[in-house]
Amino acid sequence: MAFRVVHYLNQFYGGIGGEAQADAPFTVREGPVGPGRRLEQALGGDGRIVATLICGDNAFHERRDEALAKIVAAAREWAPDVLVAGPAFASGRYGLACAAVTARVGAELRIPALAGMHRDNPGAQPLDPPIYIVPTGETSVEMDAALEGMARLARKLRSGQPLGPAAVDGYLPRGIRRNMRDKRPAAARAVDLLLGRLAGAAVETELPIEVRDRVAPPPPVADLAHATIALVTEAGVVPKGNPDGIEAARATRWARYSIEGMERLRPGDYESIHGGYDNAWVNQDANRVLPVDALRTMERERMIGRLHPEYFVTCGSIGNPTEMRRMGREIARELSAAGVTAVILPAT
Amino acid sequence: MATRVGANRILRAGRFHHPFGDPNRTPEGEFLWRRQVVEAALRALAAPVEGPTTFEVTEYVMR
Repeated sequence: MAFRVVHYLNQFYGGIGGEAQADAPFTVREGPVGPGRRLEQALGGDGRIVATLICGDNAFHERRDEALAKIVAAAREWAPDVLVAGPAFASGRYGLACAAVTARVGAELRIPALAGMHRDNPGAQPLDPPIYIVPTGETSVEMDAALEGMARLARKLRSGQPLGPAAVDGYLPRGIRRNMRDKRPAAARAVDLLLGRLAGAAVETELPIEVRDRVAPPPPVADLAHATIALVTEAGVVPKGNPDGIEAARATRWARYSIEGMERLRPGDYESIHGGYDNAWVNQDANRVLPVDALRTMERERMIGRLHPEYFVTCGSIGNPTEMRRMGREIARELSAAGVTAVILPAT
Repeated sequence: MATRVGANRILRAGRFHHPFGDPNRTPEGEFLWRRQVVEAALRALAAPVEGPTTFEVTEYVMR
């Protein structure tokens, strides 16, 4: 028997209308709508779309919790085996909605769920726990390929067979690494990689480090002599005794400490709680990580406007990217509210 | 690593145990060196970049 699919679309692909209809409230249609018809074809009889859930992009984001609750309730009524959202291509609001629907419906109904979108869509940012996202082109010109890929992954997830690596089974890497056995020892594989690289062949690392964030470089500081410079660090340098209990690894906390009026960080007053490097040198002299002494002289010489009166600190050892991103946002918000011009981030 | 994770202005400074320190110098020498590292950091902040870019410390005082 064909498995049951519930499909999520926005107002445009759901046939309600374009941007002018982005306030369209949540509705449910029986059976496939719009791209859902081709998705069903791509499923080739293995699955059928029992219902299509449609919500305007603005309506979704303006009342996100309410919309998600309705979407979960509606999905539950149709008892799907799989939820599919999109494809949203490069559309940001739609992509974020697809990601949220995929995460929530998948978790609450405990069914496989997946979305389709371009890898640079803000909805494709890693979530915790991660969701399945099939990479698509940037526009609906790529609709057929997107639906083929989504149908393939839906079938695979539904089959219960173990999923292969992201590149093999056609989804965006979820930041999960699995051990696997290889008949050849690491030394032989490493030498092969090196020889391949020397020969100019396209070799692939066994341990890719993902570039998760592409941040547009901020413009250069135009006038250092009037700039407020702040110090922010993941080096775990805190007042002795670690008053805010920042964790030595997998930190979830950050703190701020006053350096107002200090000529330098006094030896003996600070320590590093970072579990990932030898702290001996910074425990002797914390200016080796946070160069307060040097910045003070430059402040006096008017090379900079001023040193921000607080420094910000967390601990980067074995940092969870989701937590790090949250803390980065929180610290950035404080810096920006305080009118800080630029930041030096000593990294350990 | 900083390049691969997408940091845009990267300064090659001290060891990762003490990016703004050099315990092998005399205290005065270390302070002077630190000032130069901070000056290089400020030059990096004032430089236009298109993507991850590595800056070097220019030393003008010998140890």
